[in-house]
Amino acid sequence: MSSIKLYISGFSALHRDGIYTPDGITPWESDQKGPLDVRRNQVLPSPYPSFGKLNIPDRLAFSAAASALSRTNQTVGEKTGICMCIPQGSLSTDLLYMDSVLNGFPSPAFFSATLPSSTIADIAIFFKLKGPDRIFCGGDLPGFSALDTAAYWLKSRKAERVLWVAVWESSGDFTETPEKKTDCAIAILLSNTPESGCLAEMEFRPALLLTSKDQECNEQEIFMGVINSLMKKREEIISVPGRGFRGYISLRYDGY
Amino acid sequence: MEKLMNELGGKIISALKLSDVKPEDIDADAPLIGAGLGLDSIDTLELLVMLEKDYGVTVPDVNAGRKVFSSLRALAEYVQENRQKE
Amino acid sequence: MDKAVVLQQNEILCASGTLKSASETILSGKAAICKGPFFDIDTVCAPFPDRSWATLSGSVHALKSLCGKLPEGPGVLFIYAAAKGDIGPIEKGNDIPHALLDYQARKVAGLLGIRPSRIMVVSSACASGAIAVQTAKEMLEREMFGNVVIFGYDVISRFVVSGFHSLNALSSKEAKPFDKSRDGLNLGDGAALSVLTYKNPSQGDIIVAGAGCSNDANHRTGPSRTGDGLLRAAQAALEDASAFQPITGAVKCHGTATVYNDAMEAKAITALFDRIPPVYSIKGAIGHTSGAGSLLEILLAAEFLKKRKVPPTTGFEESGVEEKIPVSSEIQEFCGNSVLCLSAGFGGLNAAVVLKEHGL
Repeated sequence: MSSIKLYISGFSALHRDGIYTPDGITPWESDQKGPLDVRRNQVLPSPYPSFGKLNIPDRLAFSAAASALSRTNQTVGEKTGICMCIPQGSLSTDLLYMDSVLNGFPSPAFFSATLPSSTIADIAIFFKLKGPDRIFCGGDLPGFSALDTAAYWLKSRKAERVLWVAVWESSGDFTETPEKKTDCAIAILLSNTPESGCLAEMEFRPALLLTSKDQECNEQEIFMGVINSLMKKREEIISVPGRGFRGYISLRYDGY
Repeated sequence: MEKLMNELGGKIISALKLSDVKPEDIDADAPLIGAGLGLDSIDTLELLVMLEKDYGVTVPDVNAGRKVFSSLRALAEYVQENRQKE
Repeated sequence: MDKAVVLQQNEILCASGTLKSASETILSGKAAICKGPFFDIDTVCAPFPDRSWATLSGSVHALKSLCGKLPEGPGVLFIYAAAKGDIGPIEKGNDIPHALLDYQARKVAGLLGIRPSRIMVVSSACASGAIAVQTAKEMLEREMFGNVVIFGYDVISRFVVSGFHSLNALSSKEAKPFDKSRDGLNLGDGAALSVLTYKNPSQGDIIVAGAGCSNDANHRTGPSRTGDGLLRAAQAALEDASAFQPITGAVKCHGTATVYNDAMEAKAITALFDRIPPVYSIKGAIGHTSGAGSLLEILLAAEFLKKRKVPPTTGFEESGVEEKIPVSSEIQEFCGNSVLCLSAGFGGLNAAVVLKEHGL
């Protein structure tokens, strides 16, 4: 399987240490415990009254996306899609909604957010991203599945840009995945041509490893590794083992 | 009426979890839906739940709803006329 | 001869039964809607006739025995397509992690006995099934897998009924898609299983000729008023299918019978075609079966294509949309060689799939 060349024109991550952007890591303020306490003005310069009503998965995804997109000078819109990895889905919001049902007053606001795909709604609406979307909310290697889909769409010109977003929620008592260590959200804006403001070149090779050997893989760790490499402009080849899927990511910065 | 308007302003902000908005920011005579607060149809439905839960007030139909949400003052007047809980 | 993505094995469970019985019932115009109330809400729903289907494992067992031997092992991709799937753990407050779609997908793969080399969970609200078909098509055409097994499951529950009720989206009567007096949807139980493969198709095979999707970027739950998102998804699907030269003989609409969805869909369809083929919705017959529904309706569309019939839109009597679109009010002959299947979901998602009968 041949590799696909992609261009990164924006990225951001919310992690336990702070907010990661091309400008550096901004640590959390003393009253913030971590990504869940993110404030609107830390990720988006303009006022946005709806920010406060975002539930945990929506807030993490929107914040990472907003932080990545508000720093890029790219025009995003009709031909920009979203590929998302969200292994815990909307479960934390589902529980809030169920509570409202049991209390006798079902909340329409909670219900409208009780789908893994609700998480892309606020991003798409605010930034007017009207391209194709795909949401992987479980299964094997959802982060790499989302990246593979983004790369394929860009290569086949089904989209000109794709915002890749990954969200891991650790605060609920329902997390049994290896990524349960910390709440985290990452967003990377990918395009199929190098545009002004391009930060790095990513070569992504999806190759299929047909095996029933079960290899655990911490996608949060791997993709935070990608973010750290991007921040330090470190050339790197990151390979990914996994059941039924193997790929690698290679990062280069010549001329950017 | 002023007191009820302030109270309702606070309830709108907490029920809808609006950020960057304080009760004194809400213009008493400006429309609640659309521009300004950026409320949409789901917010309207959520406010209807809040009105029933906290004031025992229901809104019979869409037309009544348009009047009720036409401003904070109109909302307070409607609640004052129809409330069943203290 | 060129390879194509073929719907190899298909089976469904819905209020009107399995694939064969449901297709016959829908063609006859009968609705499988039951009077309520449901969970103290004044609405009507379309539940499974066989209550043993109304659990995740029950549906899997029923579909597995209907489908016969399934592909298994290396080269098999399993995709779980659901909006909410099994809500039981959330409603009971027990075993909460079992409500994760990931857990459900692995449970289903285990029960099916297919030992796939890869499991994916692709959730796109009420467009989940159509997106799963698009995902399968891409994976097969890239030759990343030899077979794809898709399973969808969504059922009527207090969670979902109360939720749609809180959005004022339910009707208290039988749903009337595209009708003047339509006032909301009816929820239904649905499950579906499909095996897709990439091969040189035989005469009569139904192929997935094209697929496309888009986002309205308009509102969390309501569709765009102009229908431009659904239009772009449909255009992308027809463009994707162009090598097969499809002649659209019918449009399988999302047609939920809410005021806004049907109005939007009529606009999208009118902008898409110079001459609009017959359009239909089956949600008045078997209810709105959420994420599983968009797979279930695609498999029924394939059945109707094979029978060369356009089903009636149960519940439709008089047009209530601005545009003059030919909503089928009775069973009619099918002219053409392909069906365009449309779906839409919360989050502004729009998905379109083009099915074509090979050899036509």
